[in-house]
Amino acid sequence: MLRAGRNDTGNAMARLDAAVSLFWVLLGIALCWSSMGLGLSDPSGPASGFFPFLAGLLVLGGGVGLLLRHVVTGGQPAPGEEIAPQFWEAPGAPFRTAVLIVVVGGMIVAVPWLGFALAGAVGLPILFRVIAPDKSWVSAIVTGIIAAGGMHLLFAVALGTPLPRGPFGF
Amino acid sequence: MTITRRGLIATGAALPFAGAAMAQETHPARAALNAIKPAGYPREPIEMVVVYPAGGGMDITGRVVQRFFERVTGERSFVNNRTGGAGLVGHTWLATQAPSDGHAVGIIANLVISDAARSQGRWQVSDLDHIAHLNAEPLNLMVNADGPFKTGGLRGLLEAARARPGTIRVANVVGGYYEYLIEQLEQASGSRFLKVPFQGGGPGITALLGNNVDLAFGFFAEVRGHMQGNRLLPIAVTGRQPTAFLPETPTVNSVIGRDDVNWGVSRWIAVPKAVPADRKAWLAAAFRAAVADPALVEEFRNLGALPDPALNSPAALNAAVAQMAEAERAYLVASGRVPR
Amino acid sequence: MDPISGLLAGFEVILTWQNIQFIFIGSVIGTLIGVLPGIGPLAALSLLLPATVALPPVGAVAMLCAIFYGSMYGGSITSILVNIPGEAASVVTCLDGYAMAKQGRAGAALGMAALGSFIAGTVGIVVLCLAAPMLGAFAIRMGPPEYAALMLLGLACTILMIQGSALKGAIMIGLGAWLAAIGMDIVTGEFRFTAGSVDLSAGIELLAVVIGLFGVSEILLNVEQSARGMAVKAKLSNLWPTRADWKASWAPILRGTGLGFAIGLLPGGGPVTASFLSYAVERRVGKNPETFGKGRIEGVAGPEAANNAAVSSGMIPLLSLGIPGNAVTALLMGALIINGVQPGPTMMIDRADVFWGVIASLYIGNVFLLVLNLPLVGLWVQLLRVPYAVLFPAILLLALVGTYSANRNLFDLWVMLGFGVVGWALRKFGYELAPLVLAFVLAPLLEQSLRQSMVMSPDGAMIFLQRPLAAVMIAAAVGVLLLVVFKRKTTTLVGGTA
Repeated sequence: MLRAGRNDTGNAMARLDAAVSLFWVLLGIALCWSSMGLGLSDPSGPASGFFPFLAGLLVLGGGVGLLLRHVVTGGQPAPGEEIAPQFWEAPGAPFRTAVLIVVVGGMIVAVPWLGFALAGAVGLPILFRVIAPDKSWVSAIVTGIIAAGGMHLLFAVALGTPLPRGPFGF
Repeated sequence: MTITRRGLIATGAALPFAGAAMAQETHPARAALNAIKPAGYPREPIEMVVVYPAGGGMDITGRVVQRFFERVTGERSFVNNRTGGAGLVGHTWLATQAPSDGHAVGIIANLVISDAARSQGRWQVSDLDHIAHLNAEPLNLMVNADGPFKTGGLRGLLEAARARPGTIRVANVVGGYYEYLIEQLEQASGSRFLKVPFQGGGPGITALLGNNVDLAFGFFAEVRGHMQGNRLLPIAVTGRQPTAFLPETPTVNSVIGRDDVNWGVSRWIAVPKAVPADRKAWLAAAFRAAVADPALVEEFRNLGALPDPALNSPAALNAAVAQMAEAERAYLVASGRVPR
Repeated sequence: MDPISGLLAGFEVILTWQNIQFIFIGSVIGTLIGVLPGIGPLAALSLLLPATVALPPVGAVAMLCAIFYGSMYGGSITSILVNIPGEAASVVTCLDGYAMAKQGRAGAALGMAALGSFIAGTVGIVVLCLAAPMLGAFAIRMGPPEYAALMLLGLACTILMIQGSALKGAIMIGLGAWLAAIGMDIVTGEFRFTAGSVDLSAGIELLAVVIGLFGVSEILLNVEQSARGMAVKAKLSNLWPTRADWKASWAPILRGTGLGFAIGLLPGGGPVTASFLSYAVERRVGKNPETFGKGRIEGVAGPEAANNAAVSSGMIPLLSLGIPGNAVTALLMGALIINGVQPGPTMMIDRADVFWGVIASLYIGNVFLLVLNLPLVGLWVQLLRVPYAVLFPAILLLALVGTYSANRNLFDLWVMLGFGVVGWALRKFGYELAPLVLAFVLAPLLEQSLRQSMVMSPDGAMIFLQRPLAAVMIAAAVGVLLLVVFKRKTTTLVGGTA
């Protein structure tokens, strides 16, 4: 059933999946290593490093298992495991995702100076435009100001949450 | 139990109305405060930092004080719990990152002293200015009313520890007064206890209720309900003299013949050192006026703590803080934690 | 405290104008979330959690609960009208509900879904009232060994929850356990994995992790695809089911309630499983099973009753033992902790106001939802027309403000964004995120109680066998693990032959 769906893009995804598994192996080793530095046991029983060591073992074991599975089955997923057929499914997806992450990151950086309301009023129109490019900038900006204003009313005014303020006092 | 619950409901229901009613009338101390109030301050609600989680003893004290601060000054403020690392995160924020324009105030306790030692030199207690004392209370040593140590008191417990080393289970909170107190008890009995670690005093008391430990320490508000329900018994208190809340219960000092078993909590207001002097003076006066309000003293009494009139000035408080820091350091040196 | 006086005290707590407002708002938001496809109760709760921090604990949790069961009510609306399940537990409602709508009986289906939900919700709460104090009475005796055994059982049930690859699930559990270990070790006071950072010494904020993993990643996934549009065509007529509908539905509603309640009680069970099983049962016991999927009202009434009953009974392990049975209750537990209430055996003694207040709020919420769902159903349908291009950015801003307001700490926002990106990427590779969150919540409790037990015990791990309750729970955990292995084996065999 699943075999029929395999093609070149599926293979690329399987290779990426294996790369993620390799990352788990490395992370697991790092966790186990640093946990041993914390000490695994003391006279009264398990010490600080014991549980993180177990967690690291789980990550490491899972990663090794996934790599073995990749080698044995050639990248076949388990039943019920829903792997996307390819990493980027829709056209323009990398652009939209990257813009979203950068804009949200930019808003976090800007919040101490601009306050949430202003950062939102600047950031939201960009997001609106990116998600729905057919909308005009004017409608995006208006919607953004309304949304940011509504948020400000909800949190700062209605709930009285103290939030960072921008240069205009809100 | 029912009493506690009804009490909670009653306070919960009454608070909003009480707040509204209080806002109506002007507090008698307001006029004197307004006379020394710096211009253009405060321009936004004042953040009162509590470094322990919401709902705990420190938090409840903080919220009561915040309410009376607003009542006295008529200015807006809010309690913010900056928690984590058993207080280290909030204390570090106060000492190093808090705005120094008087819009951030710490509602802190003497536990700040050990956190300064844990901060690896990032900051010191003297980076904060201690401006107004709130209240103080000792630790209560509790046993289960149905447990093996319900009779015999502290002396009996210490004798049992001597007879059977390493079997008496004590609820411990790592790296603080609970640990120091256990060590002093160990020295007195010449024996070892089984120190079961808990995340705070409350969980230790719960474990005592289920007879999963034999001895636990708690603040009065944490144990009062269980004492009334006849589930827990006090066997001793810390401090130089018995507490007003349990006059029959002996001090640990008197039982084991020492004078340095005085671990307890002392709470006060601190601000970053760089806050302008006029704002500091206004804040100090406002909190002193709040603590002088008999209604706040009554609230403190309900929480099991009492204000200390001797610490009624910033100078006296700063001296007391320095003295507490010195006493703790002396203990740390004596117990070999800190090199001489 | 006996259930009657407890419940009366609960109503005393909850029947304030303010709390009723919170429940009402929660019911409205929950229905809204249920109607909007894509945003499930988990994502919605995680996004709205910070907004509740400013509220008193009872009001906050009552509102979050109302959102949870409100979404169960609302989820059926889009399933029936447009064949799009509003959330996962309403997937089976599509089968017969949409068929009924096509036959012009959408009103009857919607009405029966709401009434079935109401009956099941109410019956579930009555049983919750009666059973919870019994469970709580012996709970005070639970010491560290029993807690350790309980957490072990909880983690074993987490494994049972994994639907896809067991290896990936194991990695997520390990990752969650490690992330939870960051910060101060309460047993020794040592800092772990903080790299000298004060921000990390506080540990990673549960709220930021949950909002990132579920909310932000959901938005990233949706934004990546181009926004989809949908149209509502079905016309609404009479909302009241006919006498014949009632005759056909009462037995499925009762069966669904019983089944849903039992499944919701088990850690790892939940509304989704309950609704699927109820549908399977109705198909088995009903006459003419071949007509299921072609507009049988039993296929709507049973599953809708089951998912609501499961929500009620899922509150029992959470409120009386402090064990979240599924990701949503794990989030509710987080909400309680953030609001300063430690869920667990002593909660009904220590915080009787919260315990009974929340239970009482469930009654009120169910009444609100019945009112909201019967006459106002047409209004909800309009919400399907809000374009995602507006909805998602607005929700993101809400998440940012909300997460910040919980601790007033910008670091939490970076944690949220980081986990959003990580969750988004992991979901593409078929990693399930619920086990990570459950491990994040349970692992620290397990570690702490296990280490306490070892300190307490004169003869090491024997303490777990000397205490009967602990021994029983450890046996149950082993049983669950064996069940997982057995289940995996059979599915692998079935998968192999397919």
